[in-house]
Amino acid sequence: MKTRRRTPRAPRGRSTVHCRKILRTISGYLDNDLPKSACAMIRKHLGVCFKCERVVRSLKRTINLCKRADVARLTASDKTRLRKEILSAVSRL
Amino acid sequence: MKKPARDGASADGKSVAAFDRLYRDHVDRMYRFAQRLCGSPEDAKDLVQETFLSAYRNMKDFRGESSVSTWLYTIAAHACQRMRRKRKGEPDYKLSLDALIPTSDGDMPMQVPGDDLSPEERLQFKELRRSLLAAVHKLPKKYRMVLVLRDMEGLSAREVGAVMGLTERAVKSRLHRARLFVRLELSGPQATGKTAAAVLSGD
Repeated sequence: MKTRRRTPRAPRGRSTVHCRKILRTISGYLDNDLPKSACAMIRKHLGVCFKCERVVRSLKRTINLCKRADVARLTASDKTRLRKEILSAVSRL
Repeated sequence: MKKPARDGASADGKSVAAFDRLYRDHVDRMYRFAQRLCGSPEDAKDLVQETFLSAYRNMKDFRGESSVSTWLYTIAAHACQRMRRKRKGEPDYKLSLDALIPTSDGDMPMQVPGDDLSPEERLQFKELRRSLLAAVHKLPKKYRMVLVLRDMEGLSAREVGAVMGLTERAVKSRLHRARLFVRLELSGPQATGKTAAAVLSGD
């Protein structure tokens, strides 16, 4: 009788040891910092592991959000005031 | 004649002109960095002031071995550490990678929208951005600095290492932990079953 090898699945709500190993290196994967063989292994895993795929997707979104998160700018009057304060501190030295 | 300062800096016309160029070209970038690092506009202004004051004093020592902006980031990073030391109650934590790696489903409830935003999406993005900055500010400082420099300011891992005096490997390790922490904060406890605060306290 032919036996079929099954891919081990994570118990409901739990990650396998393999998942944790993948997730430890996932920033390197997203930054294209890993060797080709490691990237291929991760891609293969993400193709079959929905949980890891979701984590990677949300981590990628976090990074994109960081890249696009702008903050308020200094006003022209603040720039002038700061410059004046710096130069006045220099002359007090 | 102007009296030279203790450390060699003096407010002569030539130095002021050089300082003005430096200030004009880099003050916006440094303020943006300071705000992301400090969280509050007032603290950010203090940091910018400290940074440019220190840059003025050390202008003559700048040899051009790094870019001017990397040199200023380094000065700002040191100034930030000095300012923090003066304050009480800012403990530093080590983030455990094991605690940050999800053991159950986790996703961010809100999508990062594209460029073409409706007013509703714009509002949602504004909220998300506010949550992000709050999450970044909760990071222990050594992780926050790496995340801000690498993912927000866009420096390479090598440049971040030069600014912070770390190896590239250490930068990448801290960056991964910082990203996972922020992801966890943005995901919320309903999605992950744990909060970043719980990770910090070891629960």
